[in-house]
Amino acid sequence: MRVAASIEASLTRETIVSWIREYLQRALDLKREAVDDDAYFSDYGVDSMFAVVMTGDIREWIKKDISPTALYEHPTVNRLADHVAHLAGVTALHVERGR
Amino acid sequence: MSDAAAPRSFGELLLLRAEKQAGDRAYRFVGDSAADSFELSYGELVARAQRVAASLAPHVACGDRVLLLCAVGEPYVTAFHACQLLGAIAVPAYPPRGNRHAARISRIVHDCEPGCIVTDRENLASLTTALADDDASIPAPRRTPILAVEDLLAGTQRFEGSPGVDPLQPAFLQYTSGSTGAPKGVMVSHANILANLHGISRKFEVDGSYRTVFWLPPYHDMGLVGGILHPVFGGYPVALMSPFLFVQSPIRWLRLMAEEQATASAAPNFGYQSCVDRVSAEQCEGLDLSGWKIAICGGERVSARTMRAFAEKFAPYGFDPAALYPTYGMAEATLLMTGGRKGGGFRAAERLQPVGGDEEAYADVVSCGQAMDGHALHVVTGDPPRLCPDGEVGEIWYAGPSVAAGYWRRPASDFSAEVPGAEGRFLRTGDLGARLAGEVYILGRTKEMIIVRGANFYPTDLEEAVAAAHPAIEGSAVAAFAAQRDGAEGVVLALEIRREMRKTPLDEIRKASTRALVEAFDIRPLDVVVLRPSGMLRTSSGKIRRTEMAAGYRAGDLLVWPGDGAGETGTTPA
Repeated sequence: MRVAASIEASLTRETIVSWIREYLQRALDLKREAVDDDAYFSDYGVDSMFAVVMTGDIREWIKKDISPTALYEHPTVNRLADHVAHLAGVTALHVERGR
Repeated sequence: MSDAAAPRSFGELLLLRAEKQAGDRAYRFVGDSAADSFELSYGELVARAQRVAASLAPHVACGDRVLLLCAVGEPYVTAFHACQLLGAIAVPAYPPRGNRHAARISRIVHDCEPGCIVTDRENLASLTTALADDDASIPAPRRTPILAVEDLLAGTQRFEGSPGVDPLQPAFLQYTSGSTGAPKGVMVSHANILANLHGISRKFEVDGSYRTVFWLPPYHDMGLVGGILHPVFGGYPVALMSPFLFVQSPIRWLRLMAEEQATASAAPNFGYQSCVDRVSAEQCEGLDLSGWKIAICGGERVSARTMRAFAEKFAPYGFDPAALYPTYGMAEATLLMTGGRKGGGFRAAERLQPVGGDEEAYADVVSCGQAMDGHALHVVTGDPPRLCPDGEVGEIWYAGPSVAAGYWRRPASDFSAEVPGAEGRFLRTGDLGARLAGEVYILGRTKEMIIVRGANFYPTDLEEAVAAAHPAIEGSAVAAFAAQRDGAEGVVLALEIRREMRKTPLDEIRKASTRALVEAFDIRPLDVVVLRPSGMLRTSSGKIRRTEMAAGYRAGDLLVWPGDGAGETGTTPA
């Protein structure tokens, strides 16, 4: 529980976005500039296996349940980050951003 | 299994179970949380199936097809059993997500001409849309009613008739990938099912203490026959979990095994490998797997490396390595074909040197035991065919009461082959193997079919999807073949680009190819290799030599496009 609490405290929307970006870069073998925060995950060739595995890794990271189909319901880096921020209880202040 | 009046169809078996064990648990459906989990007794199961059957009855008669496109879970199971009570032919498939798979579903609809389609409320609208504007190249199916299982359950009537169905009639059609892009439905008859379920009980030594856990989906032959039908045959409890929950967090499977005190479970190799790769020591705290007596592995080639790694990793938590039980089987023979001795553990031949010819030796191949009782397995080679002696590599041929009559509305020549010296008609499996000291070893395939996570794909289908992915791709020069990575089989694409478009960034081509394959087949390729012009290996008549391409890829000597970084590193599978 202490671990979870400290992760929550250190989570901001920015850290969530960079975690997702880095995850995609590493797992999909992409260059840093190749990740567009508003492009659909399907554009990167994410298959359902990858999508569900990724939710498992997010779950491990934030120590909160997340739907296995979250990448379909929130299909871009930005939208997934909003969702993860919401699940992790990141304060509204951090979540607010211009669209 | 010594019931006095032996059932002749699966529906009769189900009714018998409800009569004898009405209060016993049939299924536990395991959801995300305890609140989402619930159980059905045999009595409750049959009552629900009878309600669905009564609502279906106006749409389907005995022998009509019912396409099942529900979400995984209780509705799927109930709808399947309702079909059996009616003597209808169930056609298990999976609901399309958006437009993905919609073309495949349309082809299945066109092929089997169902009397109705059963889905659930969640999928009803999207499915109706997806089937309405399907691939224009396929003649539109006649207006097939699409019904939600929740509405079917809401009826107050119960269908209490007995399915007086011919045992040779199909109980379900198991659709599998076809070499020409058209899916083919294996006709699994009631007699096939009963024979296979009986054989499974013998091989796995099912007794009163048997309890299982399954996370394979009901549209997969192992999930359906092993996870949903065999428990009814054996009269033992099973806990069913969604494949999504397993893939998201593989520890859930192991936890559920312990919680259920299950003695048996089955998964394709990738399931065991996922536990090796993605379960942490922290997650295993307090885990007790000592009750697991038979850990069945099948549905795709069993990797000795995976088996060893799984045994080593989970032995500290009470897992008995002798429980590992590699099998060989396929939908064309209902499900199970071969298996070893229960409690014998897995056995691998370090080196299998084929007799005759100068082929290279196969390393570290896993024994899949012997054919089930009442079935015959032979290794066959040549034209005209002849039986192979021990140690010679050939195609696996299989005969017996579990072998289906054929594919729905297709000639059945592959199901009724003959070979001098062996009695009966044989299923040609397309798999390469050898027999050694009375055990069968599966080595590869004669056909170029690719198996990814237990699902079959034909290269031509994949190539066709990729050929149209980007204008720079030379449409006639795309090869899809299988490669191994980390104990799992995956797809590698190799392609040439058109001369006039050779300035196209290779990344763009790779991205487009990957996307096309994911959209059409939901497979992410392990690698996309861009070849030099004329880099494709072909026969003198111009046919792509996929087997040689795969060998070249493994050896790292394909002619890759200069400066194709990914191709260079990609030719040495990481």
